[in-house]
Amino acid sequence: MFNAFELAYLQSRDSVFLIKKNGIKGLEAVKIFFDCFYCRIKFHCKPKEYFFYEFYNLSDRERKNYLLVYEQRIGYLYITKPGYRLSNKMAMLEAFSDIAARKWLDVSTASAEELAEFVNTCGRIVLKPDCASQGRGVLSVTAPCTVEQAAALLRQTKGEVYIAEEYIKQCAEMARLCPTSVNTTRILSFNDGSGARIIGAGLRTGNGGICDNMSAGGIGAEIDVETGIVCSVGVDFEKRHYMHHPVSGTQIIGFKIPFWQQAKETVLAAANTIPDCAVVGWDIAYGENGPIFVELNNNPGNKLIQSSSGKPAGAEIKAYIKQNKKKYPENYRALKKHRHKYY
Amino acid sequence: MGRVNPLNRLKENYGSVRELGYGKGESVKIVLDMCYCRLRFHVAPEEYLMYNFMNLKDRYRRYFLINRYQHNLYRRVKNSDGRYAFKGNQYDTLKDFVGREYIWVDKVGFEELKEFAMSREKVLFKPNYGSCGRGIFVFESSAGEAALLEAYNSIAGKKYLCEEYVIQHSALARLHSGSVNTVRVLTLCDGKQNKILAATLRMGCEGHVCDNLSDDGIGAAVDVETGIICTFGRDFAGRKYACHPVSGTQIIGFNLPHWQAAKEMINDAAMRMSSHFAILGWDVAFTEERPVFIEFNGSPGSRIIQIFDQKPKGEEIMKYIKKYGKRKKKRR
Repeated sequence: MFNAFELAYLQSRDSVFLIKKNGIKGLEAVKIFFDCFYCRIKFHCKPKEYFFYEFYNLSDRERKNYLLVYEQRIGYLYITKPGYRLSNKMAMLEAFSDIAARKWLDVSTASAEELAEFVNTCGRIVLKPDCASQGRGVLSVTAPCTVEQAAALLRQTKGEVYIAEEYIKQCAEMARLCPTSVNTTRILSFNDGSGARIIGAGLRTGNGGICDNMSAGGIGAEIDVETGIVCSVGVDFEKRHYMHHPVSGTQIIGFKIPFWQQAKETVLAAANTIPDCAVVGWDIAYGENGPIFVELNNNPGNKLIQSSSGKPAGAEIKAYIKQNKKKYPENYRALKKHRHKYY
Repeated sequence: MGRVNPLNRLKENYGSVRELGYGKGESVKIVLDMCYCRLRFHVAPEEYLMYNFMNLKDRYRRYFLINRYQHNLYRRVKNSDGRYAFKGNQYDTLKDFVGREYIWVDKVGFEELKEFAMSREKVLFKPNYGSCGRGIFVFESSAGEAALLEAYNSIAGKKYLCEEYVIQHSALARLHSGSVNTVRVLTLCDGKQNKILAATLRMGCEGHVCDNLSDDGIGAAVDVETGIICTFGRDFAGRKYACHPVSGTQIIGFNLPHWQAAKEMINDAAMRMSSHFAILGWDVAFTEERPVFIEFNGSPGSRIIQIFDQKPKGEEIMKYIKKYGKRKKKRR
């Protein structure tokens, strides 16, 4: 939390840095500097986002429809029922065990023998921190695993709740994109009480690592919700564009997601079971037999869905948030104090 | 044409903005903004809506090429007496890129035309001077001499070309086999080197010989670097297509054959024309073996280049014209 002076300092520091980085000079640079401030006050848009979404080219009419980090951190909280947040992976897997299609184990309570046995029965597992996001701290373990190795893993993961999951075997079509990571799609669902619908979707593939998260170096691209065809070039957080995947050489644009209609139905059915969460980002992987639920996000990132196509996705959601700010007075009171103080 | 009452025109524009789902106050603002853009950027209301100008800032708007103003712009860097408006002259100059036989119908008699047309399975009659696919028709030799004579009489006195029908690459025929699908490429040549600014694939649609967009065709933007279609297909009516409505072939992600060869060909040809034109729009088709030259345009349409990816293509052109263009003539 910051006070107004600190916020103004951070804002100007970042915008000056980015203006220089983009090679903008002269009067144009001054105009953009003040425009950054204006967007910060009017749309809660950080300088980084201002340049990422090229706000300097857009009029307010378009700017107001972008989903920003503000929505992710503050906006979505207004419309989520207090206490209803599935932030740990174990609870998610329990809630959606019917579409998860894999085994899992709570590492914090398991013994070394149990973990070794779990690894050996599954063949390959992934160890994830229960509450982390953005692909932090993910480990992969392959069988055979002795009790000593398992004990070493337990020591390594001590102090944080870890969950061990069976490694998802993705279908050959998705493995063609990047064989080292499980490539998933992020589907954003929105439920305003009249039934869930899909707002946008993005494809995430790894870039040689085991995670497909964009924040962990992965590549994202937008998917056309109607047809399941990737309709934009791949883009990473540095805004580099990829026509073909740098690791496998597979063409990203025009790639057809397998089982797409099935995946949409799965997401809609699942989203309808949690109406207390209005906006949910679903991570869906694709096995040989159909879509597999990986995890869900209560505060999904927005860059994946909006960055590559250059079109805002938030018109409906933002209007809904604006109308329903006081839906949960408890949230409203808590957020009212702090909403302007984050950076 | 009679004068249009400006008030009626404003009302019309207001109606078309309302159709897009904007509220009353917002629509009034947009209509006023339209007037501003008309004065400042010469943008017609249709183009304003086509490029979604209401969502853009002047900083971005100024680099859009505008249909109404492009002739004024291109004229300043043109050095041609108008002979290249005739397709026959273009073919004569760029003979080695044409890759097919052709004759000037008005220069040869019926006998020679008969020999040319009957010895080939299919030939194309094209007005020597024309655009938007007007006046083009296909003649098949199986129709017989009488039909050829009839066709010859129907175009008597007009300048026409008769050329071999281009048999296109099988990959492009998969998109739409009924028409020859061509790529429109926009180039800027400063005399030392040629730069390809943008490319668009045009496909024909149900029952049309031409792939021109003004003739119900479908277009999609091409990534210049790789030759991959990088947007959805769409037509001038604004319908979007992920797959071609007739053939069902996926448009987005389609790889153009011989793309690198086509780029080289265009660069060569543009350099050859550089003493006459700086800015050119090239139509290129692809046969099984190589890319072939169809025609070039001295003042290429701006819509076809910008409408699909909604990105302005005029930045470099405008900078070039500002630097090297002839001064504007004063209006008298």
